[in-house]
Amino acid sequence: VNPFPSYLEMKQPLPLWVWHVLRAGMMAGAFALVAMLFIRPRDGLIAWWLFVLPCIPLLLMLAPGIWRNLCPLAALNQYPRLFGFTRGKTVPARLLRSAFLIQVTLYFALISTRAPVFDHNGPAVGVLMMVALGAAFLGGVVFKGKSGWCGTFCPIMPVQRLYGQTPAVVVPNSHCSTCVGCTPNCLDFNPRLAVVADVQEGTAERVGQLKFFAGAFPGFVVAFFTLPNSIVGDPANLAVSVPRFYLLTAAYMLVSLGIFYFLDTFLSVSPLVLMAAFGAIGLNLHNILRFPTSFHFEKPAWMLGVEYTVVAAATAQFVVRTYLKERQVARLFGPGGGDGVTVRPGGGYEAAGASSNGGSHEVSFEPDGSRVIVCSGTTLLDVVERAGLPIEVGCRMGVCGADPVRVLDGSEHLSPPTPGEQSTLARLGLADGCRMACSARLSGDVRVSLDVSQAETLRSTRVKVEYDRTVANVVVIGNGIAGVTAADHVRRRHPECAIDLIGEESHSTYNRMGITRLVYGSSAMIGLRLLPDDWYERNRVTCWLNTVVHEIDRAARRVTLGTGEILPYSRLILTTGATSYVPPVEGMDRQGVFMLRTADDAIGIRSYAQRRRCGRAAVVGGGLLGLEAAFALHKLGLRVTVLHRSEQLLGGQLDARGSELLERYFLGLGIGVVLGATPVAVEEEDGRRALRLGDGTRLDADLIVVCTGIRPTVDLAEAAGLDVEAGVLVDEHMRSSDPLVYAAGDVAQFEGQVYGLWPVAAAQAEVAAANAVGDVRSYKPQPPVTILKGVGLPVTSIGEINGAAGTEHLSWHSGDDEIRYWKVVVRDDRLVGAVILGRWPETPSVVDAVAANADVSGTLDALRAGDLSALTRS
Amino acid sequence: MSLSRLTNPSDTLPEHAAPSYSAPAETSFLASCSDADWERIGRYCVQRRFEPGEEIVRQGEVDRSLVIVLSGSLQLVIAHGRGEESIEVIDAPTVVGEVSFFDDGPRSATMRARTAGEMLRLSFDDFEALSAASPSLGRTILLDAGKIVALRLRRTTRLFLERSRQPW
Repeated sequence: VNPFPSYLEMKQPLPLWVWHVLRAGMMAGAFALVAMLFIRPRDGLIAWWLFVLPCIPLLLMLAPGIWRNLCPLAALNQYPRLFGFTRGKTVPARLLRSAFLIQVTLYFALISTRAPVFDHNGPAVGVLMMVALGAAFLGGVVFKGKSGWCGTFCPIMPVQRLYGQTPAVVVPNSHCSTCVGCTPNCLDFNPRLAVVADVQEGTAERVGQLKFFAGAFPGFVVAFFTLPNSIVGDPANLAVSVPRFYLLTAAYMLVSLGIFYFLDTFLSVSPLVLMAAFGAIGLNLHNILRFPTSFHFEKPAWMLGVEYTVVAAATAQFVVRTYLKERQVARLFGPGGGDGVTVRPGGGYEAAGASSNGGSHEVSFEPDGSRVIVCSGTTLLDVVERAGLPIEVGCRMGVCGADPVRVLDGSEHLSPPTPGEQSTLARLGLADGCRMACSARLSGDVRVSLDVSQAETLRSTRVKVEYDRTVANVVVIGNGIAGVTAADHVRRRHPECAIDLIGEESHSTYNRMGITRLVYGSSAMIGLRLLPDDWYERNRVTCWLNTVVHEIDRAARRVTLGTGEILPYSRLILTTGATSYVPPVEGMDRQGVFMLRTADDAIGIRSYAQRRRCGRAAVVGGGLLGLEAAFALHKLGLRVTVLHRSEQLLGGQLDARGSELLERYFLGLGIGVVLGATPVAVEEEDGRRALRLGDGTRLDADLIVVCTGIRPTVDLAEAAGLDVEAGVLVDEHMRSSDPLVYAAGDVAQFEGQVYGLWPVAAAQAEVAAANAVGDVRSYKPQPPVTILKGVGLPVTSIGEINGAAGTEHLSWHSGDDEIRYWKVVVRDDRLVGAVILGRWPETPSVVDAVAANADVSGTLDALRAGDLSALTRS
Repeated sequence: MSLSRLTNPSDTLPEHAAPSYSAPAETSFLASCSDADWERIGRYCVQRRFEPGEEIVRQGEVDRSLVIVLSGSLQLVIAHGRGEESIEVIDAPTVVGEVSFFDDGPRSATMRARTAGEMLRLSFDDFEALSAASPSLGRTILLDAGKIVALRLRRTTRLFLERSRQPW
């Protein structure tokens, strides 16, 4: 049932003929009053000013429908229509738009002329009434519907819209048998909604008109009744001159209007309710403030008391009901319940939910309390990344220390930390309760905070071993992850020796694996540094940044710095790392050609791309770093092409299928891939740079980034006479050909291998440090894990992937619909290698299983059937 | 629903009040997707729970992501000058945040949860990864998100017309 029916949907309380009779009675009454005003002005004025007029406002408020049906002016206006002689013209739009102005002007003009004229002049009132009756009739003859008077010119209309918007009793319009739509939002059509529609959907001009009248109204009433200008019935008593009277009236109205706009601005009350309240105040003032009369006729006190009370009660219920009505309108017709956009209902999206992907756990983040639902086996890092929360990403193996989080609740629902992760946490000085996000896999609900600054710090990282007390100074050359790890582990075992850590770069140890972010992101080095600022001081490590080592004098056991200082050493640990390999390509020294190895390289690329407004970029080298660089440049907004020498992307880490899918992925991103490409020269013509390839083709590129591998930095070691091949040769104790000199990380060559991987560097550095201070540790190579990060498609490769004879390859591929692939390599029922492309929550478990050479005889069938999760369960 | 339709006889409503074109009044996001497609989308989204009062989307924030609201009800509010204005209520299942998803600009309004509920958030980076890995699904998402933009733009146009061309 529509709570806001139009008059056409309402039931008439009286038969139509009754209305006609009543209207005729009113007409007769009106003419009788007019006659009386001429014949017996005194009685006519008393009847009009003291009895008829005071009743009208109350009627307009409680049951405006009755007035609108009975008003003699309306009746006269409608007779031409009733008897069929109206011309039925449409009011011109311009006039219709001015209707309110006409009404208000007439209203204020006529009412304020009461004092000078109408209050004491019966015939004048009579003439006024005659004019009004005539005008209403004439309007009815010319214009259609009620637009000839009621909707357009009637001076009482603004008052009706103000008081009559929430009738206590709705009496439907009995004039119009059909609606001709003569007046927009007509009070007769839908009495309870007309003004709400005006205010909520009207133009600013329309709303302004309504506000103006409501706001000025109480001021007008006060002016009218309190300016000492009139005694009803006595022409002699005009205490104020007429111009002054109008000026003061205008001033009163302005004050009232000012109060209205003040409240409208500063109170959070809806304009509609505020307008109703002002209408109510005006009506009460109208009722309480009265003119003295000269009729020697006063209403008795009880009658006045009753009048005051009735009006106050009537107006109070009016305001409250207007408020309630507006809320009801908002509930029923207000915006809500959707705007036509839906997601396929019933099923469908539920499949996207974590619960359908095997168990759902809730991870909540403090301090903002956001809660994410994920499935078992997901790492905290994945959760944080996908939730769009700020976190740094490094090796994803728990070694680099880029992504510590504090676990507030539910730490038992995370996979226990590995020794590598514990070592990293210890290096960061973080006590229990903190985890490296990449290494913590979920099996239940947890609550975490990304802010570890409040975490408890570790009091001691001491490793209790018999250390060599003859070791007085340890010098570590190289401030990368290997150098810092070495210094850290020397200090853990040897509390006394001096440690000098010398780095060529100007930054303290940073997350080298995150440097591609420096290319596309704007947060520069923020968050990339891996050690707390006080780390060096706390561990009593003398740090020499931006410092070059000139020479190692093995005979004198000392190191000469570029600054001239000489550092003696008992043990020397070389962690000088590697530099980019510069391929023999002509023009590599041209502007716009960059290597990518250090943070400064990445910062340089970003600033060059911006300064030169580069549009196209070429990346030489389709290895891990090359692909990450290409993605970073793509995110920076450049059109990127990757040139790769061999026929397979990530040839060493992926099988043919994996490489092909990875290539397809890059093409899908809009990054070009050219395989079998051999750049021979960087050329420049007319300021346009291009890369010429071996087959003669030219590739335009404003910016060229070269990522063709690394060369261990062995110059110092070579000059010092150590045994060097590709890297510094070391034994399983990471000892070089000089027993006092160790090497670890990218500079070290162990069993013919230079790994160039962070986890390896950290592990080797720990071994080197331990042995350097008298502990005995051996390095046992693990199957290297390579992870392509931060390109949107996770690629993980571990162990033997192009396995030799005696291996079985089990693989699954999602087909053309999606790039998603895995392959595991099994030898003698044991897992020896795996390749995983795409988002698989099982990835960390598979990596663990390969690293542990797990026996998979029980899950072979499931794997053959394409179920990778079987490995998680076993 | 416009109140003017209740306060005026229907045959006298100004022409613009009823759209003269037969534009779709609603669109169903990814209606053509199979459960397998949704599962795929799920891998690139993050599923979040929210409580009443939580701000799902915050005006002015730079957050290039599309939000698929699975359950619950949201209040759209626009902050201005001294306070904020409640614009409308949007109930699940629906999609919000499409404007910033496309133009990478700051959020143009705030979506505050009226009830508890759940949502999927698809960041632009994840969308790129999804569409590179699954081009046809990516294309579908793009077109369907485009339809939402178009639908809401048509609505805005209609509202603009209704408000600016009333006879008074």
